[in-house]
Amino acid sequence: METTRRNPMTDYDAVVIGAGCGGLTAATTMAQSGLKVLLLEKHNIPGGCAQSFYRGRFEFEASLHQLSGVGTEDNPGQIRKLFERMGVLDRVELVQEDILYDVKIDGKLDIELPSGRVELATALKKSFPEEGESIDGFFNFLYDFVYQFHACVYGKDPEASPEKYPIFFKYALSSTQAIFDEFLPNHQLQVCVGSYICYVGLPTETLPFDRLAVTLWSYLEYKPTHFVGGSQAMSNALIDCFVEAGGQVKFNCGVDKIVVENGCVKGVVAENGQKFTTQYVVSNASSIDTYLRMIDRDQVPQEIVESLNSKEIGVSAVTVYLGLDCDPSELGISAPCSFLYENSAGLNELYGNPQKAPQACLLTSYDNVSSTFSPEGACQMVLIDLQYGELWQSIPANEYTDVKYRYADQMIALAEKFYPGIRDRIEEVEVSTPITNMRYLSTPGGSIYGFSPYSKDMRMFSSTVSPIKGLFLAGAWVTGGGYEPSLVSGVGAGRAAVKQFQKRETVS
Amino acid sequence: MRDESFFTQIEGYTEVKQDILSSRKYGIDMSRQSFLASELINRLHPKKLVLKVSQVIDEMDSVRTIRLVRDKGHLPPFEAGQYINLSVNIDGVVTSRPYSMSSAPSQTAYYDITVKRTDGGFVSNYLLDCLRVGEVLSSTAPAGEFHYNPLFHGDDLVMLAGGSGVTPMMSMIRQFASFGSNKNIHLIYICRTPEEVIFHKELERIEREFDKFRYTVVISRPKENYEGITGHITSELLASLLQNITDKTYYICGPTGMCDAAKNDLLSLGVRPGKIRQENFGESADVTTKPGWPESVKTGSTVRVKVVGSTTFDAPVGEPLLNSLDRAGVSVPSSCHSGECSLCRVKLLQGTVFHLADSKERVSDKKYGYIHSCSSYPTGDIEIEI
Repeated sequence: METTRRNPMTDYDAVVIGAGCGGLTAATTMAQSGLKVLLLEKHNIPGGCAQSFYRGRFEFEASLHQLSGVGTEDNPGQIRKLFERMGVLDRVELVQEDILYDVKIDGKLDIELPSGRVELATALKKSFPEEGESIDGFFNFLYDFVYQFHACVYGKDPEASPEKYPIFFKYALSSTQAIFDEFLPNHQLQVCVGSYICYVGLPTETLPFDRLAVTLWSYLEYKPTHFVGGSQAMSNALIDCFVEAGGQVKFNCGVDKIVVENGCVKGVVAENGQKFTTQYVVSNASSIDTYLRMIDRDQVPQEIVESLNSKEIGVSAVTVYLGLDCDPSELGISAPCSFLYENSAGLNELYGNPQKAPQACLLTSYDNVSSTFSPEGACQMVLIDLQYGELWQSIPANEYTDVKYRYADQMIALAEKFYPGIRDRIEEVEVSTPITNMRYLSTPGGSIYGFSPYSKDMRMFSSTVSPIKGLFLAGAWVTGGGYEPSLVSGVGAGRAAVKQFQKRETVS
Repeated sequence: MRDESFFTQIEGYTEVKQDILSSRKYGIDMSRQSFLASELINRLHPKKLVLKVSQVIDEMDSVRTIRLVRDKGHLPPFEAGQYINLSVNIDGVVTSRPYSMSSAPSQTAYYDITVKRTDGGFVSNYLLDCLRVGEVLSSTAPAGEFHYNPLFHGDDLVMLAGGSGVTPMMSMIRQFASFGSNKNIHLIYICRTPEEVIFHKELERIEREFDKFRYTVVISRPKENYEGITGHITSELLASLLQNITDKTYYICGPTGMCDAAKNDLLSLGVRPGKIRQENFGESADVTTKPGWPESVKTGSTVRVKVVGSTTFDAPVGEPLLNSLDRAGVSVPSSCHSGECSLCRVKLLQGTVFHLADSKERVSDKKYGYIHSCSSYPTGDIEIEI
């Protein structure tokens, strides 16, 4: 692998801003292609969302609920392939689940959903014997939809037409709720197959079906996955791969400015005033910060400003991290991941509000999947519901702590409906809110998934190529949220930068 | 990107196109969103606080309260029991130590920290001897996990304080006292002599005014005619002072030895570990006497520390790596100085270090040699990367 610097006029061939999922894969892609790369991270540790932290004797996973797209050796998904190529696979230990999640609706439903299309359909039919036909119909539709969507949008089939891909042309812009109403009218079944709306960032009425469809499909085909040591193990492995390929990383080094002259990247200026010259920058910061804070306004085309202004800051979350001093079985917890709903709650109650008691939440507890997550005789539990940062930004500073604890208290009460006795076993607890996410992720509104993914904002309607020469973006703000899209986006950005770099070097 | 003729064949595209156009026309100013986020974080969790000494209050012979205010803007809110990591420049050495606020969080105009003289207390003694009103210091924003947590601490609280370890408790007690509270609080405060009891008058006053607050002083080195409770904190003493021992939440703060002993007493009385919150304070015991310390490595000798891309220096054996780095002018962020917050994480490339038992390196950090420099002690020449 060649690691020598090819452009003697600049400090670095490329600079990456931010060591989140997208920044890490972008940096590693470029370094492994032989570029001299500098990775700048404002915090003291890599990962962005993909981190862990200690409280008492518990190392808590900050954000990863289930990694999609990994698959098995025999049936590898794009993430496994990416990890293998980069060398991550040799450095981490994967743990896979055979269960997608449990769905529990208080007093109404308690069902375990296995991964795998056939297995899931079978399990659903067992609990909903009257609905066999609509269950089959829905899964047929889901798989056809994903196939056709992929062929038309990602595969860019030149012969795409309503005749060849009737489902795509009829339903590509449909909302998730519209699809449910047509193919799966039973509300409880909607809750069963739709709970992953929690991972994609909008309630069903406004969420384009493709987001849910591709997510559900990826988990069904490739099974949910974890890392021993949590997502931090992945982030540390990526840094190790990057450094091994000759990359240089600076922690505690935020970036203030991307220097752009005449529409071309010239370098970056760090918070501490240090300047680094380069012609290629991959930004893993939010696109809002990248364009509207880091670059001089006269260098940002009006088209970009208008496009950013037309979007909506995506959802953030309230998360309650619990370290419990008992075995998970003592509380009756068996599934690693459960969606919990109050008796009258539906899917969209996964989107909460600080002023109202939570009606639904996601509970994860991985100690059943692997004994590596907690000390012996103890377990962890994480409760999460989605909330918009806007609702938290307006809470006065002196009331914030009260609101935070009150809400967390209600979330614990909700979880206790299904698993009584949690509170008595608490040894450690930490609560994070959209404000916490704002602080650690440096995203507007504390957004965890980038922009809200409305139909109008689907990637097929806009170009992801930056009009600024040498600038590339990676992460949730360009591809939509979640680990799989973010990791993949970094590879895309890194490759595009390498391609341009090599082209320019050949010409000159 | 596909062209328009492709999109127009998709059902519903006309409406979506309309959406795209109108949202562009009536968009919101996103640069403001970016600004709002950084403003809010600066208000709540600024990276660095610039503080001015507004008052130095003599509590007693060797104890002073230093009142810190902010020239511009509000002080960030904190939870009673939290600390700030205060940076000082002592003869050119920039170093920092965490100090708990002793003032109540409801008091938003200033932070009080209460400092006690200790043998060889590099920073504390400097604060006592050299700090003058008007002087400017910097610190981190408030942090720390040693505070009341309404999610599971309940209404019956017992505070076991030793020496200056009373300061975070003082913040909690003042907070509860200023609001009147439904919490039952019992402070058991151990000092060597009655003269060393900090805040004694105020604590007596609060005890008089609030029937839910109980205050017990324990003197470990009493004069002959001393009439109060004497000795150490033992399980017998706790059993005699407290009822329903296993139903309460305990806060322990003081010298490491006292904290560990008190915790063991509580565990032996059947208290669950999660009900015992501990913050170690004050003089830490000589690390070279701890179990596991290599015998051949002696205090008084030095080790060579090489910081990749920066500098190489000699560090005294028995000093935390973080302090040695400070002394050598190598800047590493830090906050808790007890191995938990991970801010002072550095990568060990060569050599070995001794870790304090409560240093909490992440599972995957251990794999790659990342260490917390505040609770790592070089046991030979080392090479690190920051």
